[in-house]
Amino acid sequence: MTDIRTILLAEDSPYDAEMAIDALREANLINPIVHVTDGVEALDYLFRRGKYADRGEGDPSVLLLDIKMPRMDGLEVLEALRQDEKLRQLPVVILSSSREEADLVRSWDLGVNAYVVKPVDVDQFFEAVRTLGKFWAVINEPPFKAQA
Amino acid sequence: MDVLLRGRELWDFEHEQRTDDDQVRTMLINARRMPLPDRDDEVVLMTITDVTVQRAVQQRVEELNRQLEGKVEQVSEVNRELEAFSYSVSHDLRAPLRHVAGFSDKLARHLGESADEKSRHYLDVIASSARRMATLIDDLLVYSRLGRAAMRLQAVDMQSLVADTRALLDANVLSDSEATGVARRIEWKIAPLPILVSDDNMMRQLWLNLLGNAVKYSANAHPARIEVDYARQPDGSHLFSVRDNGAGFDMAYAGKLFGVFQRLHSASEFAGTGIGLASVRRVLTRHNGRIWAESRPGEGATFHFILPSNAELARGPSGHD
Repeated sequence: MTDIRTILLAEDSPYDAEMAIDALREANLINPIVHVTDGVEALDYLFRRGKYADRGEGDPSVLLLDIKMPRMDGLEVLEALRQDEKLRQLPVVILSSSREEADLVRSWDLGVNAYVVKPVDVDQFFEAVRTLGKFWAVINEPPFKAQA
Repeated sequence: MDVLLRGRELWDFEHEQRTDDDQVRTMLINARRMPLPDRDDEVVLMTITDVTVQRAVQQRVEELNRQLEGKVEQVSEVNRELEAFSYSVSHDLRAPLRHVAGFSDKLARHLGESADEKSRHYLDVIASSARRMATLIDDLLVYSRLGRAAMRLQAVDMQSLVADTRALLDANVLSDSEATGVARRIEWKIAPLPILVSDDNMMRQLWLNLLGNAVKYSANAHPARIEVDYARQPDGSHLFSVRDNGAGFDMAYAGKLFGVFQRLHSASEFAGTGIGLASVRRVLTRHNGRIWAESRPGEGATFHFILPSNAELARGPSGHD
């Protein structure tokens, strides 16, 4: 737990994003949270392209990834990441409304680290996001230490 | 002529003939050469049958079958569309519902102590309605999945399934009693049950719904008595019954019993969404079985259901109800 890494949140719904960010704050996480609204932006951030070409050093401790997003969906993002030499180690947690078997199977095939279905119940939603944030951003030792 | 001259035979030859009064008749002709016992030459044995009526009937049957196949295809298509529709509707409704519940929660916290009683009441209603809607949507999704998911047939031990379900329900009743301080006693009488080829998950849903209902609707019976019976029928099918001594219902409304979200009791009397029996019926339809019920208000209810013999089940479950 030596360095504070960002939490990257890829979520197209501004309301779900607001609720997720609230939950992460409630967990008293001091990690910066970067919110992108579709798959293209998520990859731009991770690969340092486009408007994120000059972003700072370091990589996120975790990517919280929605599946249904415009332009490029979560599964395409996951596939692109897992094909990259370095970013294939990035912890990815899918946070999606979908419990469709097809999505689950594809996600696990692509090597997702966790698959969480967004609870409709507010308390459960908050609990889930808090738990994820605390684990991946604080407790877990992230990769890419040597290459930051 | 050919038969006689060249020794060929004519079998089931259809020939249309116009009669004197201008009707077209279809004749079936059979002919062959036949040797006679004490002569050297041969004769022709010919039979001519008027099969006009049979041919007409046959054509009509083929025509009707073609129409029927067309209709079946249409119905299957409609069913598929309905499934896709109900799935996507219930799926897409969840996100805004989460936002309604989530942001009313945020509002409540934002107002905090400064919220007066009226405001708190309004926020409570919003939150509980959102929860109610979430339950309805979840039930609808489960119901929809029962119709869409592929069936996995295997040997299912009904005895242990029912025992598991009963244990689960007993545990629920116990924890409810502890919460409310009111003790409930349920007497179970379960006949020996067979092992049947069926979809395990669907059978679990079925027993959970039927036994769960029996427990729920006998809440005011002291003690509640629930019986599960089984009898193998002469044709090899399997007849089960679940009987309770609870509230019962008026048979006049029995037609609504298995409808989606249909209820015969108010939510204040007995909680529920009304999807349980619809789900049970769907499970049975997919197994080529059926269900019916008998009851009198205040005198409990009995639900009978039949599962076909293994042979009939193996012939292929129906895709949709």
